[in-house]
Amino acid sequence: MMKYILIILLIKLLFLIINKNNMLNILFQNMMIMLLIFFIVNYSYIKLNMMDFYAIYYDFGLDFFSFWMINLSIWIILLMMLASLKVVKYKNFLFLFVVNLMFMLFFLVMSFSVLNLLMFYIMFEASLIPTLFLILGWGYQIERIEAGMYMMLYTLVFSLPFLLMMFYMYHMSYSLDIEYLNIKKLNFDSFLYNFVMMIFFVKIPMFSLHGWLPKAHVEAPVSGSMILAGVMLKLGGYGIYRLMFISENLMSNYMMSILVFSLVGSIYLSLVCLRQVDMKSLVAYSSVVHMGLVIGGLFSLEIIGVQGAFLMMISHGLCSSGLFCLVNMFYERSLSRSLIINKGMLSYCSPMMMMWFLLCMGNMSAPPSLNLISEIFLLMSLLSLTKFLVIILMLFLFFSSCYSLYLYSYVCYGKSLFLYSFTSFSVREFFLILMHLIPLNLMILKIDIFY
Amino acid sequence: MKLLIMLIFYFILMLSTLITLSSHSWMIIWMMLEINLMSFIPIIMLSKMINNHTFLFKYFIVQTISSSSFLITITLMWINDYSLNIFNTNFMEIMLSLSMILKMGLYPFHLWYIEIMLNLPWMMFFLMSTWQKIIPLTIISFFNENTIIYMTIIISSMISSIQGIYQNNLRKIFAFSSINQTSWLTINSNMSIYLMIMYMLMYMMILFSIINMLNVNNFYYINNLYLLNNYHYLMKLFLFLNILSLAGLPPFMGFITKIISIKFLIFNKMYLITSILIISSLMTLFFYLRLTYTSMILIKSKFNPLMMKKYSKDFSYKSYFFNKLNFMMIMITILSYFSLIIMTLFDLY
Repeated sequence: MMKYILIILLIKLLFLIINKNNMLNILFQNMMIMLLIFFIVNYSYIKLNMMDFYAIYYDFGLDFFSFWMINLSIWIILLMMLASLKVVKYKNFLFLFVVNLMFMLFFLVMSFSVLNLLMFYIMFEASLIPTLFLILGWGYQIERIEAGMYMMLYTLVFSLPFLLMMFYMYHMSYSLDIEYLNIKKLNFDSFLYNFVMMIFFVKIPMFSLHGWLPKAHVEAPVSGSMILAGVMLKLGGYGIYRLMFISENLMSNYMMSILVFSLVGSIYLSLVCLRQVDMKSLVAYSSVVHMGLVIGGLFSLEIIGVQGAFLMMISHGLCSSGLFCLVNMFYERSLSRSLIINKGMLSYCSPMMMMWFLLCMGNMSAPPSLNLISEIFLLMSLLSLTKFLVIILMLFLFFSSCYSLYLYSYVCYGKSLFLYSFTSFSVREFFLILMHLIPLNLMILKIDIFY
Repeated sequence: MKLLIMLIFYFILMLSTLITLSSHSWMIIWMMLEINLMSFIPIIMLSKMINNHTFLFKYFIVQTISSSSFLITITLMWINDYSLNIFNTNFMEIMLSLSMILKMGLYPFHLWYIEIMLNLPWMMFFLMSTWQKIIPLTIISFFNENTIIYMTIIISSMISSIQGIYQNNLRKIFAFSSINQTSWLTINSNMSIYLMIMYMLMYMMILFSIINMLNVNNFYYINNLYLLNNYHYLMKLFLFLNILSLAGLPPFMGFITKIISIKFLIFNKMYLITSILIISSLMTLFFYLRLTYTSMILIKSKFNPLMMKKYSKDFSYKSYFFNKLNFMMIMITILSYFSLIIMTLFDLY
């Protein structure tokens, strides 16, 4: 594991030496593809249960969760470079952009693969700063300052008490090794346990702590919202999965309240989605809805629930970042994110509307996508918990498919405003969307590689 | 000639602090306090930047009050040693800690501190917020923890973080942030003096690289920071990395200080004071972030040497980025990126 982290560091140095602006993005993408292929080939034998670690070296190690999360983050960062052509074309601080992406990748890989809790915390918080820089540096409106402030303060208000709790745990067990803490089972009351979990609830985000997310998504450039929806939210789910079992004695009381709260919140937020006019904030709210289901799956305390949550994270990462790309493509053409301006697009280019259709169907977890199997897993785990949840889940599934359909039908059909200067989509843009769609829709044929 | 005088006074300033750190006698500590004051005032007087010297009288009066009360306490302790215990020793500790709090400008006596910091040039500001605090902090580390110190730490950290939020003057912001850092330093020196020295070293490194930048460019208000757009964008990047490091955000060196002191405090079961300090450092983050917004927004602007000549003291673009002080600043920034990672990898915290 250590060698890949060193390779990422070396690539950073390479960029400092080369510093030629015209080939920088191509070089970056080639490096990332090499890294991804080496990584997958090297650790493709990993086929494990929960908390079984491979490739342990110093404080680093991989299990199935972190392995696929690292793959996802390299993949998303690769596509981020592809999506933000405007930065490359107009040389809008391209060097800084590439270095920022490299730092983001470094922090993400470290935080997904590290086994020491303090190191995990540091990397978890450190990944916030390149994101903040991305939002503030390359964002569109001046409201991005407020959005950045919201994002920083929401996460840090709950993360600094976690720091305090972490040293309290260290005082209790004299170790911060995550696996050791999971075996040892610390004796918390639910007040202290809340402090441990709250940092991840903000990051995921759970309902009622999600205030920063739509703001940050709306103000961020396309690469910022791709990384936020694709990987940053998954960091929260990963953290819950790692630290959920450190005190099992109070889980039975604690989990039910969190689970029901987040599921009911998801229903509420899917109703909020149905009356959005801004496409980007609709997609942002839809990702909060999906993450509510992920919290439900994780806190059902069953292996199938954890696996379903894991699959949901991967599929949602691909699906929603693809949706953000599409929204940005329309934004670049019509200079608006409004659904009213961007309606009736089917007459302009039908092939891209096919992509839009497939991504929206992925978002409502229709059959050929990876979302379907993950949602089936999550429903199995939640329904085996109590029969009472059927009502909530029925409403949830209905409304979540409603807003996906609403988004698709509004963009494709209806009477269009006549956009006379609508350029057709380039090969790069089709390629970008296909790179989201192919893993999303074809991975289901070999679903057993994920667990 | 002037340079020689400055050199002598700086030498005395350094020497007095070092003697205090290594002395056994209360009387020598008191003498070094006075010498420190007597060498610091000429240093301020001789710098060109100051027009009116009236604030120096305020500074002198406050410092002499605190050191004379320190002297009284010392003599009372001396009497106690030779006769039966006439005076309560608890009373002595309260007297000592109050005089040191007055000297550092913590909460009940913080008004003079802000007023004087507003008038100082930037490098004197740096000395005032770091070097001048070493002697009082060492004196605090010599006696036991008492409620006076706890109360001042709690209240001064809260008040400085709340008051700093709505300031526009850079010196006022950094004065409040220095009060906040001093409350961290005080609780650290209460635990152990080595903790305080570690904290102070890192704090000085980070603060110097910020203050140097503000000094070279003559920045006094937040909106002046937009002039940095005329430089190479890496300058802005380094400024914002250093400010976030001062705020104590995770991947930077400023976080090491927080880790070390929080670990010590938690291991000594001081949960209340730790949580209050953490909340206050969160509130200081708000105004540190306000400082960084000017440098995080990337604007493409043409370089305009005439404008820079107007605003900065001695400006030459070619030598600016690679001169010695900036090189040091860049080195500190790079160090601050990787030291934390190395430290946690090998369990050095």
